[in-house]
Amino acid sequence: MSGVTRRQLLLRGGGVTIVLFAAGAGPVLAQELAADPATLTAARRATALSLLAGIAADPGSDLTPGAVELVAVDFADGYAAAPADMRAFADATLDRLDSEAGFAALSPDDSLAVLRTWSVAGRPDGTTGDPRRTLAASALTLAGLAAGEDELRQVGYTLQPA
Amino acid sequence: MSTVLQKCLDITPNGVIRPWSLQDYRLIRVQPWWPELRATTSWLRLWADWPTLQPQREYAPDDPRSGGYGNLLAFDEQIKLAVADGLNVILLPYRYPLWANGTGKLSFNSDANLFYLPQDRVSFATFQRYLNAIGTPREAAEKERVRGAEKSREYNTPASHGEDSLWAGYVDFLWQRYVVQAPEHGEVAAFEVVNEPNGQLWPQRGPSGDQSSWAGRFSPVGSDLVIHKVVAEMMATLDAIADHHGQTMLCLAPSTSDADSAQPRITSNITPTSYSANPGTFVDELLDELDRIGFRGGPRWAWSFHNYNDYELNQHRVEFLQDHIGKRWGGRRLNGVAELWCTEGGCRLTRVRQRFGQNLSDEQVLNQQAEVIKEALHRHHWPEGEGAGVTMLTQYTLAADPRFDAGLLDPGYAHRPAFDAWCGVRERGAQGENDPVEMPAPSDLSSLSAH
Repeated sequence: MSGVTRRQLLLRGGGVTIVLFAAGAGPVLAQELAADPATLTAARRATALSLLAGIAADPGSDLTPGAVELVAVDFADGYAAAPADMRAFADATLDRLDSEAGFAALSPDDSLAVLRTWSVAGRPDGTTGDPRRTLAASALTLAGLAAGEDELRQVGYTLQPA
Repeated sequence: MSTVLQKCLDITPNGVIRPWSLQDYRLIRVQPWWPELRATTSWLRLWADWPTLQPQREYAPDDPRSGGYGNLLAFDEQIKLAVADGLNVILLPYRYPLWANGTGKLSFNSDANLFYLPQDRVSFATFQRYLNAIGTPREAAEKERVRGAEKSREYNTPASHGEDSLWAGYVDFLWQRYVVQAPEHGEVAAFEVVNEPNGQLWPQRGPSGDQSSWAGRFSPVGSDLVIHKVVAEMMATLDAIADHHGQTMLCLAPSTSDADSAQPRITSNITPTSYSANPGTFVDELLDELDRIGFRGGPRWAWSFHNYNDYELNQHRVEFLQDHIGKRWGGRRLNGVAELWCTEGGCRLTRVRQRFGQNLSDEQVLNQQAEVIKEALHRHHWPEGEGAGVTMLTQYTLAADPRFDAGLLDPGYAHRPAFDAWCGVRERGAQGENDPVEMPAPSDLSSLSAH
């Protein structure tokens, strides 16, 4: 990758990468990344970063704002190491977050507000669920990809009610 | 020949923590592939997550003012639907609300939390990296690494699990709702006392004999196992609750992790085995403690355990477990040995690579996962060796968990060969050696409540 490793690129932060793409400064890099199915696209990386920042904005969650960029790098590493069907699930979940709420552009507080709203959409009981609940749950589950395999199988990220 | 093999599906705590997640039974049962799985699976393990169902101490779980009331109704429906579908439900009380174990005063991002018994929550290697990074540009990152790696506060054991404890009140609430008041709220077939106490819960051991430095505090030398006493107390309390209500419900314990750890302050290995350089004493010490407190077991009780290593790596750790349980365990017996209920297991994709080669393609890994599942199920169909006494095997997760990928399906419900492998092995009915025995008379547990 022309003198820039994937990890170095990720450590610079999703926002920087997006700027690079938007300015057309890295077309070769973009082609290389696009050609590697184990690499998160810049758009999905930005959505994942926003998802993690939203979780961290909840003072009751087990993620601090100071850890978000670190965990975002771990997320990309976890994505790269995951089997193809796990990556497909991640792609679909991140794409839906962005298409339904423009997640990538949300502030941490707005991201948290969306997750909380979706998490209580419709009724918890009943025989048919609200698909936004399912999406929010999938997003929280997916965020755990950053932590790698957990032998203890602890409960992952949860949100406190608003 | 009394060959027995029942099959169970564990759908994780997500179904109650996040209703309408892909682990919610209501979503699972309406999928087109569900009838095929149900045809050869008759048990379902469900997790009654206490922090979710009773987030505020002042409201009982069934108080409509409780923040978890909606989750409780969702849980009710999953149990009722599972029973209507012909499944036997194993119910498991899980975790502790922070108000119940006293950790509520430790906010997650505080130093007070970070430095609260780290020796019982994280490896010394991770903690030492932070210590070594203090004053360097890596300090903040390594601090976050420790924070993220520490066992969560919800797994810290409270001071008591006795008959007057908060935990007993919660378990009694579950018993009343899903046994006494069943079928109004859904009826369970078995209670399991706890999940993986020798791995998830903390502390596992008392203080180290060396408190002079962090390295000393992280050392197991001079410390005694303590978690077995917690589990014995839980078992005695559940037994008393069952007596009190006069029900003949199957009770399962101790639901041990089969993790093979070299860090005894974090994980307590259950027995010595030929596979490990780290002999464990959890089972022996638990049996000693059960003897000490006069717990006798009886036909209400069966031993539960988890068997990932046996399942994934074609190991026989269960035979070492049987050797240590021997005739000391007073619970149910089968095939001349202790009756064992395996309440978690499965085959991780990472373990397929470990066993068969790191260079396998994704497709090869998924195909091999299916072969391992078939192998494990068939090995336990035989009532000798690793199959002796084993009456049930459990598949942990249907939809794959990104943090522990042993799924029969991918995380979004798409097909994997593992699904066909699991469904392709039939169950055989229970033919235990237990005679019907009258249950003990109820005792007075009037102090129990969910508050």
